[in-house]
Amino acid sequence: MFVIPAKAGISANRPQDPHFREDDKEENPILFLTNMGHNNRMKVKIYQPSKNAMQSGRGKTKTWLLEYELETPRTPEPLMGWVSSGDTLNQVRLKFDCVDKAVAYAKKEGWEYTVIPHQERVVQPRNYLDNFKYRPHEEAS
Amino acid sequence: MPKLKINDTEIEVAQGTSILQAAEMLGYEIPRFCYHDKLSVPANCRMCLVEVKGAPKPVASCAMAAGENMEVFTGTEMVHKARKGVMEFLLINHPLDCPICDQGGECDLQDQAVGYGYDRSRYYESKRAVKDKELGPLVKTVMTRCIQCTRCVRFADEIAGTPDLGLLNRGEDAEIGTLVEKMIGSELSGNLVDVCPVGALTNKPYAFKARSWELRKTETIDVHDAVGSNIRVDARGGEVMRVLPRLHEEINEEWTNDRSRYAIDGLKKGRLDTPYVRNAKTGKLEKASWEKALETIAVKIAQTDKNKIAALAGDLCDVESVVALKDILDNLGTPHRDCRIDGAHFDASTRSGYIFNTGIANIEQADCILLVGTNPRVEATLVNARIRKTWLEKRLPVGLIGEPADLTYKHTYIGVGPDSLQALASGQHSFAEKIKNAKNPVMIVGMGVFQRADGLALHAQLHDFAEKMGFVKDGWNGFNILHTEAGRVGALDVGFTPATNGMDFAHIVEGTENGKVDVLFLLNADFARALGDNAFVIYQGHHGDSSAAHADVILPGAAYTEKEATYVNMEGRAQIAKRAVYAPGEAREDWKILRALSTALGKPLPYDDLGTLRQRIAKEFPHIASPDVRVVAPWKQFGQAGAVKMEPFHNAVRNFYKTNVITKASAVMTACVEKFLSKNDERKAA
Repeated sequence: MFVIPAKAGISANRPQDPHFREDDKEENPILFLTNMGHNNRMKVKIYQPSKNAMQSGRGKTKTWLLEYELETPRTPEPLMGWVSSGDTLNQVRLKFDCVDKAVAYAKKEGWEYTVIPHQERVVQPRNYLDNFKYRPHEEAS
Repeated sequence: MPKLKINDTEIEVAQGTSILQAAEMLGYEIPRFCYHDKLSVPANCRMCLVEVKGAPKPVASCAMAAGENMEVFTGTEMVHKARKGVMEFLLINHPLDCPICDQGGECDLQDQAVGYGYDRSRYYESKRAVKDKELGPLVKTVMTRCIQCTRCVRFADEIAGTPDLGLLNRGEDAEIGTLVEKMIGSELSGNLVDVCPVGALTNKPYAFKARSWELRKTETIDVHDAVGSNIRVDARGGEVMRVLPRLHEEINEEWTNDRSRYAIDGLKKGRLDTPYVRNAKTGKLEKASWEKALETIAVKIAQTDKNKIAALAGDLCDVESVVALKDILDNLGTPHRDCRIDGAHFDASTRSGYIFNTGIANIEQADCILLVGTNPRVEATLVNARIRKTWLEKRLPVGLIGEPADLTYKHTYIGVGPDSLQALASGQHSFAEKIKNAKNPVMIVGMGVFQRADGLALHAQLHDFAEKMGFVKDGWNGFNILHTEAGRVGALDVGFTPATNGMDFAHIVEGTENGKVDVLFLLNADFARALGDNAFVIYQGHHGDSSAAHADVILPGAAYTEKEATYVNMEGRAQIAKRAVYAPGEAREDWKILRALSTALGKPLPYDDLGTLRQRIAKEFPHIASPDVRVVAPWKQFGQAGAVKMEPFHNAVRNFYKTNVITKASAVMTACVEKFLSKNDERKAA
């Protein structure tokens, strides 16, 4: 059906193949599975961390973060079996005061970005007196 | 609208707002344990004390409503001293467990002790110990750590609607418990862990597995039901360790159900991590390379009559892969495709006929609710929580047609089947009066209503019923379909239903037996129906479940935590799920596999990356392109007139804990089935 070029021992290697050429992709689907689906532009996501459901504090929910998308899987390293990754951008998080600044920065760098919309908290006024508020026991008709 | 001063900043707040809430609006954070935004105010932890000018003593700010001309101080010497006193009393009986406590690192008590704790204890008497409670396989208890904030009690009472927990005894003997020891059989019990400000209630399957600061947090979307809850997936290395809900006021508020939270161990079991091809001689599935798998498919499809190729998309499909598969089918020229693999018959041509038109948040505006053939507590727990919230607020009338169920709120049971709909339409049943008098009536129709041969006729009948009873009127659409599968609405939106002269699910499955279908492509489609032996079955998915066993070629795909993908929830809101970890082994993102397959078939799809694919989707289906927007649909005619059988309705989901391949592979969910479901439920589920 299709010919797999000899240069590619590809199917197992997920990281980008340095030999990959743009015109190969039409003939060779496997190359697509291994390298493609990401063009060379860096991908980032911009979001405002939501409040940790486990805690009440909102300290870290005010800044906007710009994070790089995972580009390679984490794998066990051969010596100790610890989780490793060659992708150093994994650890980088840029902080911005507002979403516009983050977007402007990503645009300036020519990155592909996605903005995860911020969810506004709706606080219903509540106080102790509400515990004694009259509520009908039966359904209203 | 009282106007008050907090730390010399003036603010005007709504009547009934507490001082704590007002301070929070200004950005002053006040420490608290018992107060929670979504729960009632008990004011029993006393941590939120503030100084109010003129008051002789410190005031609990969560309990005191803001008053006109109040002057509040949140950071004075007196406030600090008062809070330190409270903290010292709280810590008297709190064990020094932090190094071995799962809450360590994300504990309110730990954090606030840094600000208000003493550096040594002045307490020399013996400490109190409390016996741990057995709450089932999901929630672990270490009751000595409990500080009696009663958040769990209020959550179980108010949100979950299973009032099993309580504060027993008094004084030093006070403890949280169930009086007669029993498990918490709520579908929302995982949230007890979240609301607990200390480590008294923790996540049992996650116990001692990881620390919160080691985890890589990814904000994404849940696929275990069609609600589309916003979640945060916490992963360490390549492993998903836990799932937490995140705030989305219009969908899940701050909760999520137990399935989405605890089924993640299923992501590690029974995974397809390499392609398989069935050996023609031995008849066994053998591991193969991607080349071999794709080539086998390409050879087979080249030999097959194009009209005998069919495809089914299942319950966990993302929009991107469904569109890619649809494009391949269009290139091949076959009309046979369907996404309703539970055998539901309804008219998919009109969008308002298959989405949750009212919107989940707008349930709160309803003043009368009619449930038809559904148990939302099991099928969409957070929709049920929303109904309960509305019911608590207004005690609105709720009617139920279908299987009797414990919905956690009072309701009128009307009947079992379509005859009850007729009784309502003709006004024979007294509930009809309540619907007619309501300003914003809501009707929620379960998928079970359509999983029968007369589904299309019922769809038309429900349309007329909704119009006649006033569910749909100017400015209000109260007609809702409650989907149970995350991928369904997305697949319907992009038209993955039989094209002209195409076969639907039932006919495709029959076709594999009677020779009308020679090649069947299953995209994440897992169903219990047996397939004929003669058809060549291609299965693309992430779990080796029943459908994969039938397959001749298996293409390993990625699960929802492993791909960037769009899902459309039951309200028609597109949301983007992000990748938290990579799929195991050779497994790939679904749309990429299909893109590669299209090349193997000789007609490459015109998109090379996710961006171009999304542009292609946006062009044809613009409403999917704008994430997190609930796109409403105009009310139109749908369904097909026909005879309706007077058989009782059956619910679409019987077993809450086992609904898709991930939950089926999950050992935690199996433990839940054993503990929580009665023998009767289990038999039904099988």
